[in-house]
Amino acid sequence: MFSRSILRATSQAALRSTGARIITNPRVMIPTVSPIVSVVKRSYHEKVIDHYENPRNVGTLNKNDINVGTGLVGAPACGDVMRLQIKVDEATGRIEDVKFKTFGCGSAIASSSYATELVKGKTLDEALQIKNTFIAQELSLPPVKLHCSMLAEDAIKSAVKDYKSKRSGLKPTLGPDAVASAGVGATAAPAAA
Amino acid sequence: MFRISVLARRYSTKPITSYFKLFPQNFPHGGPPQDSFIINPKHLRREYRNLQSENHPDLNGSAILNSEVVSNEASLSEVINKAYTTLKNPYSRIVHFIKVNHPLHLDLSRDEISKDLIKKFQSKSTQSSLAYKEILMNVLEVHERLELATSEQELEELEVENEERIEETEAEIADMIKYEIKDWDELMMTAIRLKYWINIRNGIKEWEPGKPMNLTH
Repeated sequence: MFSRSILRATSQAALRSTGARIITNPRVMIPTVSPIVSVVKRSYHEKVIDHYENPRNVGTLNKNDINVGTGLVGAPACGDVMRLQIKVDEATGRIEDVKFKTFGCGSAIASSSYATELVKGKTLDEALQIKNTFIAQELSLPPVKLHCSMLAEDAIKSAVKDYKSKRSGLKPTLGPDAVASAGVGATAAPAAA
Repeated sequence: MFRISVLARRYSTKPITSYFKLFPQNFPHGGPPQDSFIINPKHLRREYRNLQSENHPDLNGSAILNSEVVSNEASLSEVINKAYTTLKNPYSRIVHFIKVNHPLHLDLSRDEISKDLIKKFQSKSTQSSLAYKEILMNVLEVHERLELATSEQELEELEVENEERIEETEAEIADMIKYEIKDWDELMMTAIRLKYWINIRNGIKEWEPGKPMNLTH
């Protein structure tokens, strides 16, 4: 991940400083001549390119953390997969951190990245309201790429579901918390179903 | 004649035609289940080339090979191309088989159809729900290894492993459709699993050190 961004930065810097294409190592040039960029220049919105080239919030959170919900989804027709993790602030009930990893086409990566920006700071219920059509519209995805943004919506739902089921399984049997957490479990269960 | 064929195309209600029938040397009985699902890529390619040389659009009086498959003016050469690319890839081959033979002619390559199927499969039992999750976890893990690979040698290992998985899944499918198909859903879930591995194959093909992963399909 790190070395990749260096590669891209170097090749772009080389282009800027010389103003000409000097190909010393063809592999260094790859990011600037990759097919998606040439396609993107013609028909994609710049927001897509931005999120594809500099995806936000890429990475992982500790999936064993009780405050972290992990969503794992796939797009069976094209074979793409995505993992999205949310970390919920216990006190406020808002999503304080989010990380994702998407293996798919440029539009899938861009919509996942954009979705992570959307969910940050939202409550779980607000996050569940995010629709793929909204993401697609914001990124001006062409109709044939609409389903790519579906992956992001599915992943948010899956992460919230995982978080809720994790919390509902956590029931202290002693002390004042026992009553409180039993209440949380009971309210979370129908929403997760 | 012309008018009839235009109408036929627009209001066609005929069943989906089988690409297997275009290649009688490779599928002498019209395709699976009578023929094996596993193909010999070299043999298929040879027959494809022969067909193309016989039916090239530039040739006058090209032979109409199978009127059942090609019933309108779509160039026979185009159909042969489409059929060949569909059959040489194990995933599109099984998708085509399902489309032809499934009682509802389901098209698994459509996202909503395969997603409905997965939902149905996952709601069957906790086990099946976990089984699908496990597939996704495996797929994600292989993708991550592919992304972190730094040398051609690492890539080769991944490729060997993945080709093994594809071969195994293909053999599983071949076994499932040899006789009367009892569980279409299970067959289709296996086809979906195959799709994930095929996607990784494409990722491996396009891998270059330092190049961001971008899958095209």
